[in-house]
Formats: sequence, C-alpha cells, structure tokens
Amino acid sequence: MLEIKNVSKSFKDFTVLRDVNLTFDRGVYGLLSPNGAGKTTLIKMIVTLLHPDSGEILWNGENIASLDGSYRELVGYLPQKFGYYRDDSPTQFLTYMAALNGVDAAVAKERCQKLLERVGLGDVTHKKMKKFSGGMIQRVGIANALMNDPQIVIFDEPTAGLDPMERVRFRHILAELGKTKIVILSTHIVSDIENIADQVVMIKDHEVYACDTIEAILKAHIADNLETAFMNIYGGEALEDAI
Amino acid sequence: MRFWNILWGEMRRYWRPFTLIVVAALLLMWNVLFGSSSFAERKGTDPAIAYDLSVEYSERFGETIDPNERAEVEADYEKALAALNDQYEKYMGQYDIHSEDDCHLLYSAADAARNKDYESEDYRKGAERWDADNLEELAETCNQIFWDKISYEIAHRKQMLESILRWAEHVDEWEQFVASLPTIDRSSLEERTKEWEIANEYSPSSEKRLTQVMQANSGRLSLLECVYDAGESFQGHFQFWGALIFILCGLIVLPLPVGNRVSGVTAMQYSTRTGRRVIFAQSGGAILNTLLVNAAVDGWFTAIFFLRAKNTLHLWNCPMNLCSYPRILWLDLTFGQFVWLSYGKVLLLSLALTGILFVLSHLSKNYLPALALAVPSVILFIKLSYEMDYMLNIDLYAWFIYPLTLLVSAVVAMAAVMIFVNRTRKADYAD
Repeated sequence: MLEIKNVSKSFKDFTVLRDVNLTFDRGVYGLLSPNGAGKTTLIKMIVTLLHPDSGEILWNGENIASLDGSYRELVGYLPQKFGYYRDDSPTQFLTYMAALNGVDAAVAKERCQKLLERVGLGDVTHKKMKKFSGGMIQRVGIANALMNDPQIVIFDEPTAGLDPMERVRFRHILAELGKTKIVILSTHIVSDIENIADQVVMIKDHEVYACDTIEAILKAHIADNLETAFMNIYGGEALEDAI
Repeated sequence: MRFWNILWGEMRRYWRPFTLIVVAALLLMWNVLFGSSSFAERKGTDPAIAYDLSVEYSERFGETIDPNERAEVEADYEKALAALNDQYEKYMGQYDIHSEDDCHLLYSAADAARNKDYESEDYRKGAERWDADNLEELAETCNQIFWDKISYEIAHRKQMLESILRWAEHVDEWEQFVASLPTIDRSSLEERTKEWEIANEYSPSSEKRLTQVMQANSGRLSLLECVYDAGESFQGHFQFWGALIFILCGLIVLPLPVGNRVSGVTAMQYSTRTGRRVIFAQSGGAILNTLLVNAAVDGWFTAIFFLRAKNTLHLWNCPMNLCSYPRILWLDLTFGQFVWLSYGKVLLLSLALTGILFVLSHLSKNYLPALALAVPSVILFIKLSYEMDYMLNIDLYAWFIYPLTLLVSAVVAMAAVMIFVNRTRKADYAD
C-alpha cells in the first residue's frame, strides 16, 4: 500500500501542492486535473525525483526515502518526456535500464522480448530508435515501465502520440496491470481514464479535491459523464487551459 | 557484478560513434600537424636522428662526459668533419661541383632546362660547364647527395658535436659566474642574468641550488647535450600531445551527461533502483576514459622510445641539470625521471580536468552553457600544463610551486566532484 501523508511541495515562493493525503492500493487510479495543477510534481515525488518539503510518502508503512533503491525497484515509471538513447535499439535500451533496476541480464533479455511484443514492437526490436515515430517511442516507454515487473506503475501523460488502435491496446494493458498492481495514470484527457480507472484523483487549488470512484464523482456533481463533471469542477480554469 | 555491468554500459555510451569519429579525426590531425616534432614519429626526421645519436653517445661515454672525454669528442668531431668533407669531395668532385654556389647554379640550370628556357643566363652557364643533355639528371643526383641519409646524418653529427663544444666553452664562464654569486651585488647580478637570457633574478635559495649543482658537477657535461633536439622534441611532445589529451577528455566526458539531461534520460536513470548512484558509474567511466586516452596518446610514444633504441639505459640516466640550455632544476632528475614526471603531470592534470568537466557538464542544462564552461577550462589546463614545464627551473619559480600546482589542481577537482555527488544524492532533480 502506498500512502501519501500531509505532503506539501513548493518551488521558491510558489506552492504547487499543499497537504496532500492519498492512499493507493491495487487498481487503476486516474490522476485528473488541468495542466499545471501539480500532477507531475506529485508523480515525481512518488518516484523520488523530488522530495516533499513536509509530510511523508510511505510504502507498506515505511518512508520511501529510507527505503531508497529497494523502493524504486518496485516502481515502473513512464515520464511525460520519455528519455532514450537515439542510437540504441529498444532491446539495448531496455536491457540497460533493466541493469540499472537490478534485473538479472538473462531475465531482462527474455522479459524485453515479451514486452516489446506486447506493445506491438516485436518486429523492430533491433532497429535504432532514431527511426521510430512518436507513438513507437511511447510504446517503448510503456515497455520500459514494466521491465522490472513493478508493484507500482506510474504513467505520466502516456497516450500522447498514440493512435486510436494503440490507445485501445494500452487500455487493455492498464486494465490487466490494475488487477495485481497499483497503476497511477496521470492525464488531463478525460477519455483516457473514463473507462478504466477504478478511482479518480482530482487536484484543485494545489490540494486534493476528490479521490473517489467515477460513479461517486458523477453523483456528487450531478453529471452524466466525467467530462461534464470535470468542467463543473474546474470550469473556467479548464476552459482557459483548453483555449 | 551489477556495478561492472552498469559501468560497461556507461563506457559504451561515452564512446558513441560520433565521438569515435571526432577522436580519430583529431588524432590524425595532430599527427599531421605535430607528428614530426616528436622524435618517435618518423625515422629519418631531425629529432629521430638526434635521438639515435644521443643513444650512441650515451652508450659510449656513460651519462656525462668529463674534460678528457670532451677532448675525445672534439677529436671525433674533427674526424667526422674531415669524413664529411671527403664525402662531399668524393661525390661532388666527380661532377665538377666544389661549392654551394656550384650546386645552386646546377639547380637553376636544371630548372631552366625543365622549363625549356634555353635563352636564360643560368641555362647557358650550366650547359657550358656540364653536359647540357643531362642537366636535370645531374641536378637530381646532386640533390640526393645533399639530402641522402648518410650526408644528412653527418650534418647532424656535426651540429650535435658543435653544440657540445660550444657549451663546453661556456662551462668555465658559468663556473666563474656561480663562484661570484655570493659576492656580487644584486644590480650586477641582474645584468648578468639578463646576459644569460634568464627571465627573473635568482633568489637566495636558487643561488644556493645553482652553486650546489655546478660545484657537484665541475667540468662535466650531461650527454643530454647531444640530445638537444631530442629533448626539445620531448618537450614538444608533452605540450602538443598533452593539449590533445585535454581536448579529448573534454570531448569524451562532456556530451554524455548533457545529452542525458537534454533527452530526459537522467530522470529515467534516477528513478531506477540504482538511482543517483549511477553518478558513480558515470564518473568511474570518465576516469577510465581519461586513463585510456593517456595510455593511447602517450603509450605508443613510450613504446617507440623503447623499441627504437635497444639500450636506452644510459640515456635514461643522463642528468637533466647539466644540459647546454641553462636549465637547472630544483630536483636532481635524470632524463628518464623527467619523462615519467612529465607523463605523471599530464595524467594528473587530465584527471583533474575530467573531474571538473564532469561536474560542469552535469550542471549544464544544454550544450551551449556546457561548451561555454568547458572550452575555457580546457584552455586553462593546456596553458597550465605548458607553464608547468618551466616550473621546475630554479630561475623562474620557487621550488614548491610545481608540487603545489599539482596538489591544488587535484584537490579542487576532487572537492568539486565530492560536493557535486553529495549534493546530487540529496537534492531534487528538476529537468
């Protein structure tokens, strides 16, 4: 179980997140809010790239800062900007990242092949990634996030660049992962999470505004779909963002 | 085992194809530009011949020559000079060439014949004196005689011996100068030092050192005397190729951390189990690369040094302090020790530079600021290394400046790396 307790984060004088409290257990969590609300900051704290100014993040009751590497090896992460080596093939890059994650070389090789096939890149495993389209790169990123067989999988804006077919394939992967793992999906695209999220976390005014099932959120905001509820909650803020 | 796997991964990334191509191009460029300045580069060049001569002399006389041996060298010189003249006479006499002017005339006439300029004065004079149909062939023969290996080496031998004897004439004067050091006043000393083309005044400690060296070696000369050119080529080697080592360090170290940051790979690495400890593998890779570059650039040089002369022991043991060039060092170094010290200096400075560049490249958010910081750093280290070649001279720097400079460079680099690594492990990573 991943618990976020009273976490706040500021950059200089600007408060990004204030007193955030969340608990994640098995299932798919949609992190939904307009751009700039603090989703990425929250995610970066969960993957230890950033440290909370106050509060703590606990994995099974232990602070992730003290767990250090033994916590990070349980985390799979696809950042908003997936970094890769252009001259590497997907196989080279994934096995390198697996080595950084402490995965045995033989296991990594086998897992790499399976995952690349799962994301539809089974026939280009040895092709240099500089020849890949944006969607293909994103799929390599998805495979990379799963290479260490993580307990917590975090995707930050994962559907950017994916075509409709790939989105469907990705949703299936997410649904399957959610049965056994904590899956956190950060997005500002409502349709990405509407059909698959077990719970939705909404951040407003730097605080957690809601953390509930889609049905409960729709009921609370008298809406028949998540997009309407989203507009009701964020109103002008979301519209401004859209414009 | 895992660390070595990661280290290997980092090493592979430092040596990306583009870096390999640029490194190869720079090595080739340096070889073309500065290769001939090193004795080890090509058989038959001035430094190579001077080096071979020095080995021959050092094996004949030992590390130094005393006044008796000097007389032997002088006699040797007379013989060599006579042999040289005999050779010229033998070769040139056959073709009615007796002076340099004759040679010039022959060349000009041959040129005119080649250009079919039969009306020219040079052609007319040449054709009258030599066989008009064979002017070009004759000029070519004359050219070969002048420049073939035998006469070239003789010319060098002459030059080297002259250098020894010229220096020997000055020894007495030097000794008088040294003996008078404690009694003469400072203004007079200043005049004398100018006379000897020494940049600065002697300090009391350098006076003491100078007196000690001259008294301990009264009348003896280092056989390095014969290797004036070779010694120069060593210095040239460490300056030119040392500069290349510094440039290569920058070229190899800089792109990886900056590229990782720009492409977003750093964030990916930091979120893995290894996390920010990947810095250790990266810094280890940078150090290994620096060692590799030093070995590659200087290794072949050392190998050729050994291979060219079967017994270099005497040459290695020639004292540095008794060369013709007024080069009295704070330390009693042999030539071999001086060479190893120079290697060590370049190695240590290149490691310090690598450390500093490693930190600067991690702090830069893209290539432009990284280059803006790295280029002056590399230039600074090249200049520092160049200046350090003179830091052991008693007339230019105090004795402690050389070790102090090395120590400060090492401490600054180590402190920068340690502070950076410590800070990186704790700080937020924002791309």
